[in-house]
Amino acid sequence: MTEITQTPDVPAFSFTSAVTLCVDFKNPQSYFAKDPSHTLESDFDLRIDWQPMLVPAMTLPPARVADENRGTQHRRMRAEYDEKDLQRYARVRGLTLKNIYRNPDSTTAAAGLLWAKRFSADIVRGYVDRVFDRYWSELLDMEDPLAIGHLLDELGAEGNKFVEYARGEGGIELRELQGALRAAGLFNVPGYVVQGEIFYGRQHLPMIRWLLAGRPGKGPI
Amino acid sequence: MSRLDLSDFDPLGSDSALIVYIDYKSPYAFIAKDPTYAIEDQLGIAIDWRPLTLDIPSYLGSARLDDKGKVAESNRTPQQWSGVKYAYRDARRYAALSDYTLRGTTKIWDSSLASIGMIWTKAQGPVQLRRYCDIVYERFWKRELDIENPEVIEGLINEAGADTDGFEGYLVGDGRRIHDEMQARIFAAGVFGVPSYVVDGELFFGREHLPMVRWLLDGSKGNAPDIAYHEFAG
Repeated sequence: MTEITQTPDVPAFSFTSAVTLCVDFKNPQSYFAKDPSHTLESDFDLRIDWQPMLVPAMTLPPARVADENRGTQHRRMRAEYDEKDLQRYARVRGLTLKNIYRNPDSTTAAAGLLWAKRFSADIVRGYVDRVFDRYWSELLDMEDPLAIGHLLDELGAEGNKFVEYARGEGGIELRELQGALRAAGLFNVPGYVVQGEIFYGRQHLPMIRWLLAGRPGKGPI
Repeated sequence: MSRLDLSDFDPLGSDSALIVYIDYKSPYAFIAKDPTYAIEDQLGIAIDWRPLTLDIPSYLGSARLDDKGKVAESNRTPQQWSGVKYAYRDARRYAALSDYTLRGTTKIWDSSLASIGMIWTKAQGPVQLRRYCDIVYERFWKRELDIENPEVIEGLINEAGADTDGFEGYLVGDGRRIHDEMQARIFAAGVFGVPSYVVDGELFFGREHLPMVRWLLDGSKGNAPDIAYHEFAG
């Protein structure tokens, strides 16, 4: 079983919810995990603890060159495959997936999630939905504090106070959270934490459901 | 494809509806074994199983553990180590659901002899091949198998119920040549990891695609499924 391990000096994040889900709004796999995770919430009548986690953006596959070594070739092929795979499941899911290689600074949108969490679970859900859906439709500049503030206003979350929060307290809170999540053993998104185990990717949702249901019968493989 | 001929080998094409690429030294390929068998059995199809012998150091760095399980040599980055450790833990928790033992390897093995043994055994029939795969996977991941030893591989083929007459020469002759040429062509075609599935020329990397693979093979009825580790057996 994947254990949550603590690194020295930084206190590890304490997971108190039945399901914690770490996401980065610029990460397409996080976007793809959103709706099935909402379904999990509904089916098990629980509220996911959404946490922002900042990870590197996807990078454009390097151009093929004549004397490409095997490692470079492997990484290029993998990157090309990943793009096709994302587009394939975007079609399956009916999701709009614009340019996957944009590399915005997602800290403001991440701070917005922390701000939304000060209000209610419904506001968190609305925030997560709107940021993901609009960003991936190229309708949101997630680096713009005013844009994030307007979005929070739509949800009744005092967006006018958000800009000040993002510049000060929010930035500190977010930095501390990143350290605490990494100290808890997380390094990627979407990262689910359930019953002390870390799962990267929505493909684990059958296992997560099995765990939440009390491990009935044989688990999904 | 016979065990002596590559003339009709197409990395993304086959007479079978489904091609599956595996490597015995991959924990994820091991975990994919039974769910993939389940699809083969439930849909009544014959899978074209093929070896893809991974060159792990080329993309994931290399490492070797000492007798106490401590890292003795490594050129991996911290990020690569995080990924590798997670991969083993992840595979191990799923292996446990099938009562399989999955112990981390102490080095990066050269699995090419086991791959050549797979090509040899496959030519003798699907029953022998499945038995060979089961034995190799289960024992290797218990650390009970030296897959770099030709005599061990020959013994496994024999145990799987396949004829071994001529295998010793095949292993260093035609088998090696076919294996190496096959690997070059597979990689050039864009197949880079295991388990990989090919349906109608479309590549799927990872067992999380088995719901989609099954949906495609079963006539694409209803809505296409999302990725998931799903229980097909039983």
